[in-house]
Parts: sequence; structure tokens; C-alpha cells
Amino acid sequence: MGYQATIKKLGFSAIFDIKGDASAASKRISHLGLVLPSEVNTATEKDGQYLCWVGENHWLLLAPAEKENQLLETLAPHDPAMDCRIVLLSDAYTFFTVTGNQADEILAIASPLDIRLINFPKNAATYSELFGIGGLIMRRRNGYLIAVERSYTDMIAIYFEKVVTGKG
Amino acid sequence: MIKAPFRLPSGGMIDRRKHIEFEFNGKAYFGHEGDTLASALLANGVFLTARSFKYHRPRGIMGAGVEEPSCLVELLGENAAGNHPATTIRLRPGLAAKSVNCWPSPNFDLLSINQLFSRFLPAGFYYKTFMWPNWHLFEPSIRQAAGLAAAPDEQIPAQHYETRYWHGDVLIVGGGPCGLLAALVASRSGARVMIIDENPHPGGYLRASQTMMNGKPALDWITAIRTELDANSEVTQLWDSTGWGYRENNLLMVTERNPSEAHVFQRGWKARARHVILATGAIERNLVFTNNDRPGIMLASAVQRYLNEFGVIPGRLPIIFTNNNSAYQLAHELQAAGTKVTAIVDSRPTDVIGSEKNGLEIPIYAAHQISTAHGGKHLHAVSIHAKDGVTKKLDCDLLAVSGGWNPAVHLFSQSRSDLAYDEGLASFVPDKQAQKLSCVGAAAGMMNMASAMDKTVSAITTILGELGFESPTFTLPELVPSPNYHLYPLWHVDGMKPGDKAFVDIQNDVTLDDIGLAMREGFDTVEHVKRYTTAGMGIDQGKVGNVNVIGNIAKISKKQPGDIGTTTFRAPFTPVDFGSIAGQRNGATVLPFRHTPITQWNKEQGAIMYEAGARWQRPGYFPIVGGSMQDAINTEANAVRFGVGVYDGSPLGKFDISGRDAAAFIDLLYTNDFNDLEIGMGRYGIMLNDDGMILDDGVTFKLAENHYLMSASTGFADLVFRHMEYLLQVECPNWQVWITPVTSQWCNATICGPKARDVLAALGTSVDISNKAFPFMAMRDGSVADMPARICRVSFTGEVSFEINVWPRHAEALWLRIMEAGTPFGIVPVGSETSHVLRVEKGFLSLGHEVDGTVDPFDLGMGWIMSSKKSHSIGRRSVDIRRSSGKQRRELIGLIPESGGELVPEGAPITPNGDRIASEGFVSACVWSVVNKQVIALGLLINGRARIGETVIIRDQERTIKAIVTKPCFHDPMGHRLRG
Repeated sequence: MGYQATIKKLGFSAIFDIKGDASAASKRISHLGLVLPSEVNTATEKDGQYLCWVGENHWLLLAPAEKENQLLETLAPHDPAMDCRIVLLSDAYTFFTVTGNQADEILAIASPLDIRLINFPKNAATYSELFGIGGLIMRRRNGYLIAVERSYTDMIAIYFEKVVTGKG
Repeated sequence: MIKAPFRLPSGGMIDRRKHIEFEFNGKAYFGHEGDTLASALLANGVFLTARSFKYHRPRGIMGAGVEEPSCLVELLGENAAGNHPATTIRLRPGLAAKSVNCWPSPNFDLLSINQLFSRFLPAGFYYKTFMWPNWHLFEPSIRQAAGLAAAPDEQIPAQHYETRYWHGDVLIVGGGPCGLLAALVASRSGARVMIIDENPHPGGYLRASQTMMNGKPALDWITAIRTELDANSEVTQLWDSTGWGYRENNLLMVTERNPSEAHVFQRGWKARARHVILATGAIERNLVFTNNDRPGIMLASAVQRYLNEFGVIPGRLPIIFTNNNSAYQLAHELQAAGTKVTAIVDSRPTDVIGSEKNGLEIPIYAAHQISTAHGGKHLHAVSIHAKDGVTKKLDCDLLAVSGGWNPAVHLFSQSRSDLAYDEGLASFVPDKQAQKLSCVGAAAGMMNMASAMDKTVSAITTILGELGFESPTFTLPELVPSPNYHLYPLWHVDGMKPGDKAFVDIQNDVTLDDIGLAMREGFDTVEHVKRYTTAGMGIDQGKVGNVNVIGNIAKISKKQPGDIGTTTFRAPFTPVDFGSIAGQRNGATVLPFRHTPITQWNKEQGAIMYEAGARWQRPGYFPIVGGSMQDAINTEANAVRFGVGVYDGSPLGKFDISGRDAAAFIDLLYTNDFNDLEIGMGRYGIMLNDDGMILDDGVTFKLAENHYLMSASTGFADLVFRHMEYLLQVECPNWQVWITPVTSQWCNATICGPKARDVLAALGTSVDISNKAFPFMAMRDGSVADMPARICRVSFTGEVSFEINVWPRHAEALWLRIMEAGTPFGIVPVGSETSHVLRVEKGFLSLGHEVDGTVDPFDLGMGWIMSSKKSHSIGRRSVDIRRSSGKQRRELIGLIPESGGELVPEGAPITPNGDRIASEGFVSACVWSVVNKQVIALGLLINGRARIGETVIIRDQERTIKAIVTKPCFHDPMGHRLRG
């Protein structure tokens, strides 16, 4: 009964919201070895760090939790004087992974996003609707990585439980 | 052997090896796998299955599919549901159903007495009859009598509804010959295809008839196509599914009734394709003559389907009444099945009846019409008349009628595409497409199958080319040539008299007389006729009768049907379960909700949780053992006023605003000055919309030069964000301002009350919290209880308050430490009910109460916040223009109601002398004040500030309450306590 998919709520990650001029943003993150995504709705990756395009002159930097302090120092997030603004948002999101043979089925239930590979390729990352709220969706091997605003964590967990198990 | 007296010994597509027991109106019957409830009832000789909506006339099954206007049933037991046509319910073991709209049974229905008074119950009678003394006096009884089945009480057990999305290249609605053909060709091209059909099996008319293809039964052709589609992973086949809504950008709403996944009861699909093909076929229409609703009168196409798909002939003495040649196919098939057809009554003249009659050994009454059907609970004869008036009575127990065919243009019309009237078909056909869609087959008005299939291949080839796919080679099946469709419109038979019960809309009991009455009373457009008579409303939405309504309007008004036009085709095309629309949004997730890290603690303390705006769940109050809600609120409020309380303020909207032009932007947003705000300090501000009405209020702190932390009301944070983004993107596109919502990045626990400073000190903090070092409206970064924190001195309670902001990762730990450190001081958690009491005592405004979209700061006595120093802020000009008129406005006041300690409902109007006349104000909030020991209220009152000391009258439905007008602050008006 239910779908062959596994939902996992992930632990804490370091997250930074980056807004502003692309060249300034690029310079601010250059020491991370990350480049800005060249296409909308995609992400670049380097050493477990992801830089996601989430809007015009707007990116989201995801990194392992242990890098948070180092990034706080090196990205100077409290300095608004430069031509881009970097704000710590590590606590603002909760991550889930959706994996398994029927991960696509779960996403098709959760989101109106067209997840066909032709439209949502391997490096895809985008904000879209997820169970009626906004969420970040990234393609991963054997499934998807999803980020939702932390306050919705319990609601999304219930949704996933319902959909995967077919109960409720 | 189980007897089913009207089931043929062989034939049909049911599985005769599998018997299924079911129950209808409390009686057990048997059917077979593959039956519908309707086919099984007919096989068992159950013809009286329903009562009509208004007159409670006996009714039977008239159709065989979604067009059924007559027999609605309520499903009982597990998977209970109401108002399903019996023709669309698949027979399953244990199925139990009962007729709707009758009591105790369709055979003996008490309300059938309505038939005796039918002449007093024409269309619109209740509009005219139940006006005095008051419509609402009669409304409940009328609604009770008019209702159909009740909504089920129980949840679907062990399964659930699901909604999901689909994206693809070609979506085909309709699995008849043209739809299947389109799916086959599209799938071979490599396109991603979805095909949907109402029925559990594809084939459409091919299953309902004895059509041969390539010299073999058409079922072979269907099977071959289905096998090929099954093997193609890019093809999604949804059988027993309804495409019921056509939305923007080729979005189709589909309900799948029997998904293959065991855990899914029904599934709602939101399917979007680059191109949609509507192969929805056509629906046969009724003929209008006296008593044309008697059980035993059925659509010819339905009889044909029962014969061929279910092996049932629902009568021994059939007659066919038609105005076209399509019904002759039924005559041929009945004859081949060994049934003697008594007669064909054809309203067309002899000379136009062509090859369709060849081979028939049945009397044909050409240029004849049926004037009336005889029988009460079942048909037993018809009277026919010729053009010259000669009448004859023919015995029969089954009358198959065909008034012509209407292309099923419902989805086409829903797509906002245009229809045109086709005189040859006497119906409406697709004309101009508004979206990327095509109609094929009978849905496009092509009634000859061979040419329709040929044109379908041409159409899909063109479509695939446009989508970038190469069309595969394909050979059309060979069909036996059939005569071209031909009819003479017959909107009603000749010789009708006033009072004859000739129904144009069977489901809603709308007669030809009703149409005439509506038009005589001036309701002479099709939309007005619909609303006056209810024709075309209800569950079948006039699938069988609507074009007859239009034809009769045209006939009465001496116009062409094309000049009359159609009513609006609305979704859903057929009834669908609400559950299939809502999907997994039920139970705990019926509405979105948001939690803070303290939510679980609040629940564990037994807090009554409320939605507190923007879907945040907050504690309303913390019940106390043996006490009422008011006792709990009083306890919490007393703690804040005289001791200490703490509340979870995390949901408060928060924005990080920075950039070169951030300071100018803040000044533009707020009506007051922020340009002299010092770093580390905050200021209360009000922002207006363009109309000069209050949009939101809140405190903004200056963190650094051109760097601010703005707070917004919980429920209005999204609106404020949108407002700010609009300004930046539209009004000030060259300004460098970055706004980052940080609501969920910061939680806060607000300690408030005279002992708040003591609790904070007990917690331990690196910040000097003396009033001198840390004054009101200041902000300090430091640590609290060894956690990094940002402390703000703001107050929504009127008492000393410390808002301790931490990252959510620390929030629960901080909260537990606060409760621990606060215990010696008697700290209590505070809910939103108490916050409401405290702010009313202080006269602090609240959005949704005093701020209802119609007030500006002057109305609230806050003219001081409208800076006269700066040249511009959003909404300022509108305020100035409005106030220059000098008109009196509603102003914020306090009220002391003489209600004997009872709270006055919020929203209660204040009217001059308490009369039932236009109000002069209203009560915006009313609470029991713990400091005043009485009921106090806030309100808005015309010219209120000039009326302080006056007594006004509040209306609470039928009673009136006197109240004394006061200043809108009941506690510490100078604000000494919050600055302490």
C-alpha cells in the first residue's frame, strides 16, 4: 500500500540568501569556488555547496551545517554596503529528500512543477508550489531535495506521510 | 440460475461467469461484472427507479451514461456518496443504493401528491407565492422538500483521495474511435500522451453498437490499439475518468474514479498539455411530447448501448420515435437480436427516409409524431398522429426516442472558445478555438464515422507537426459504408395544449409550458429562461434537454436557434466528488498551518490553539483547572499587569531591509519620520496604501546605516512584503534596496510585566538592562541564558517588555529557561486572547479590528504620526485630499457598555437611538478589563472624539445596550509603565 518512495527530513544546513548585482555576488562567493548558475532555475555545485538561482539577481547558497560559522565570517552577511546583500537564513528552512522508484509520483502529487527531465534537468533548482505553499525543489540522484519554510515543517511532514503511505 | 428477465441469453460485454449481488432500495438483486447499476436494474426489470425533482412523477432510467437526467441514486454503506446517475455506477459486490427524492420508495412516494397540484406549481411559483410575510419563513421547508441525497457523514475508509499533476504533449478527451485513433497516431510519434474516457473501457460508440472494422467486430480493433498503448510508457490511459473542467493554458481537470493503486479511492488530475484534442462525441437529445418522462421511455442510443454492451433489452414491445436516421441502426440491431419492434415513428416525410430503412421488417410511420405516452408508473402505449391529424394508439412497453445529436462541446466552450449553430445538425458545433485545442469526430459535428476518422488522422498529423514530432505511417480501418446523418429538427410535437406535461428538461421538471410562461413574463433570453425555469441546471446540466430549450425559445420568439445562443457551459461536466478536488487536503491539512518551535510545548500545556493570521497557530489561552475561559484570560492578564507573563511572539512578520536607498525607502513607506532614528533604536510607524488607508503598523529598528529590521503584523506580513516589492519594482525601480523576509529566521519570547526585568536578570544576560542603559524602543545584541540574542524593548501590552529574539535553533531552550527562571516570579504563559485584552486596555490598534481598511491615522487619533516635515510618503496625498472635504468620519473611541458584565459582540453596530437604521459606528473590540474590573470596548463612531461622555446605543440583534463614550485608553494613558 502506498508508493515506493522514502521521505527523509534532513538536519540543519547553512543557508544564505543572496540578492543584488550578479558581479558583486560572484565576487563575494568567489572564494567558495562556486560560480553563479548561468541559467534560470538551475544550481551549481562545489564540494557539497550549492548555489541555486531562485529569482532575478537572487540566489540561495546551501552548505553543510559545519560550514556555517566560516561562511558567516567570510561572506560578511552583516555588511549591507556592498552591491549585494547576504542574509543568514539557516533557521528559516527545513529540508526533505524524496527518493525511491516512485519519487516522481510523489513530486507530481506535491507540486505542479513539470519534472520531466527535458524541463527539469539534473542541475535544476526552482521555487515552486509544494502542497499549496512555496518551496525550493532540486533534482538529486534518485529523487529530489526540497526546502520549505521552517514554520511549515510539521504540515509538510503530514502531507508526505499521507501521500506516501496512502493513509489519512 | 439467477434470473434477470430482461437479460439476453448471450451477447454484451459483461462477464457472465461473475455474478454480483447488490441492493437497491433495500431489495437484493444480481448483476454481472461489467454491469452498471442501471444496466443491472434494467436486466432485473426494475424500471421505476426514481421520482422527479419537483412534481415527484414516476421516473425510470432514460440514458446509459453521463447524460442520464432521470435516475439519481444515493450510495450507501462504505464509500457512501450522493446524487450519482445510476448509469455511471459500476456494479461491485456489496453495492447498496437507494433512490433520491422520494419517500418511502419510488413506488409509493408521499410527495407524489404534488402532481395533483402541478398546475399551481409552474416555474417561478415560489418567487411569487412565498413573498408574504417573509420568504425566510418558507425557505427551510422548501429546501427540505427540494433536496436530493444527503452528503455522506463518514470518511472513506482505508483509502484516500489524491490530487496530482501531469504535463505532456497531447491530451485527448474521449476514447471513442476518433480519440483512440488520435492517441495511437500521437503515441507512435513519440509524443507524451494522455487519453481520458468516462467509461471503464475505451471504444465509445464502437462498444455500444455492432460496428465492424476490417471485417471484424470493432472490439478487436479497440483491443489492438489498447495493447499498443499499454506498451508505451509515454502514454497515460485514464478510463472511468472524467475530464470535467477546461482551464487556462490547456489545463484540464480530470477525476479518475478507480485508480489502479489500492490506497487511492479517487484521484484528481490537473493535466496540462501542449495540445488538447476533444473527441468527446455527441449526446442524443430527447423529444418533447406529452408524458415523455414515463418509465420505459429511453434515448435510442441508450437502448442500443444496453443491448450491445450489457446484453439487456429493457422491454418486450419496443417502439422507436425519431426525427433522424441514426435511430434506424437500433432498429436493425434489435431486429438482429430477435426482438420484434412494433413500429418506427419518424417525424420526417417518407421521401427523405433513405437506405437506413433497407432490410427492416418493421412498420414505419413516416411523417408521424407521438402525441402522448400512456401509463403511470410504466409506459404501456403511445398515441401517434399523422400530419393530417389521424391518430392511432400503439401498445408498447419501451419507447426509444431520438431527437438528434448534440456535439459534446462542453469542454470546448469552457475553454472560452466560440460555438456556432449548425442548421444541418440543428445543434451547436465548435467554431473558433481560444486555446491550443482541436475537436474531432462527433464532437466536431462529424456524424459519419468513416469520414470523421479520416479527418482525425489529418488533424493529429498537423498537430504533431506543429509540436515538432514526425507523424508515423498509419492505415485507417475499413468500415461498412453508412448513410450520412440526416434529421429534421423537431423542438416539440405538433398539437400540444396548455397543461400538457411535456418535459424539455427532465431532471428539473421543466415543461414546454414553463418555457412559454417565462417568455411571456419577459424572461426571454436563454440565460433568463434558464434562471426562471431552472432548465439546464442541476446534475445533468441539460445534456439531453438544453438544445431543445433553445429550439423552443427560438420557435416561440420566431427566431433561429443560432440567434438565441447557448447558456454558459460550466465545470464540472459531470458530478465529481469534492474529495477528488481537495485530494490530500483533508483532516489535519485541510488548511495550511504554521508552527513555531514553541508550538509543541504550548500544546503539551493544554493550550487552546488558534489560527492567528498568516496560518500561524498560536495559543489562544491556557485553560485552568475548574475555571472558565474568562478565568484563564483574567489569570494571564493579571499576571502581566501585576507580575510577569511571557508569550511566543515568533509569528510577527520580520524583514531585513538594506541597501543604498534603504533609509529613503523606509521614509517613503511610513507616514512619520525615520531619518533621525539612531542606530540601535526603533520607532513605531504606520504605513498607508495608495488610498491613504492604514495598511499596517509596526516597529522598525535601525541596525546600521541603511540597514533596518522591520516588523509587520503577523497576518499582514505577506501583504506588506508584496507592497514593498511593488514599490521597488514599479515605483522605484532604480533604488537599491534589498528586502529579505526573516520571519522564520528569528523567534522571540516576549517577557512582559512589572517583574519582566527581574526575570531577564535571573536568566542572565550580557546586556545592561537598566532603564537608563536600555531605554524603551532600544535594541541590543548580546546573550541571554548563554544564547546569542537580540533584545528589543517594545510593548504591545502597556507594561515593561523585553522581546528576546533568538534563532529558532535556540528557541525551545530559551523558552524552557524563561519558564524556569520566571517560576519564582510567578511567570505564566500568555495567549492571544490575553494579548487582545491588554492591548484594548491600552487602546492600541489592531489590524482587523479598528483597522479595517477604511481608516487613516487621523481617524484613530494619531494625526501626530503624519509627518509634516517630509515631502512625500505613500498615501499621504490621498489622506490630505480626503480630509480637505471636511466630512465627518468615524473616529476611534472607548466605550463602557452597560451590559451587566456581559461582553458585547465585536462588530455590533451603534445606531442613532438604537433604531434599525444605518449605523453611526460599531464596536471593534470588547473585553473584560482586569484593571478596570468592568467590560470595556473600543469602537469607531461618527465624529467620535467630540462625543466623549455621550451615551450611545449598541444593537446586538434584537436587544440594545447603552454605552458611555470615553477616550480610547483605559490604562496608563501616559505610558509610564511601559517606559519603566
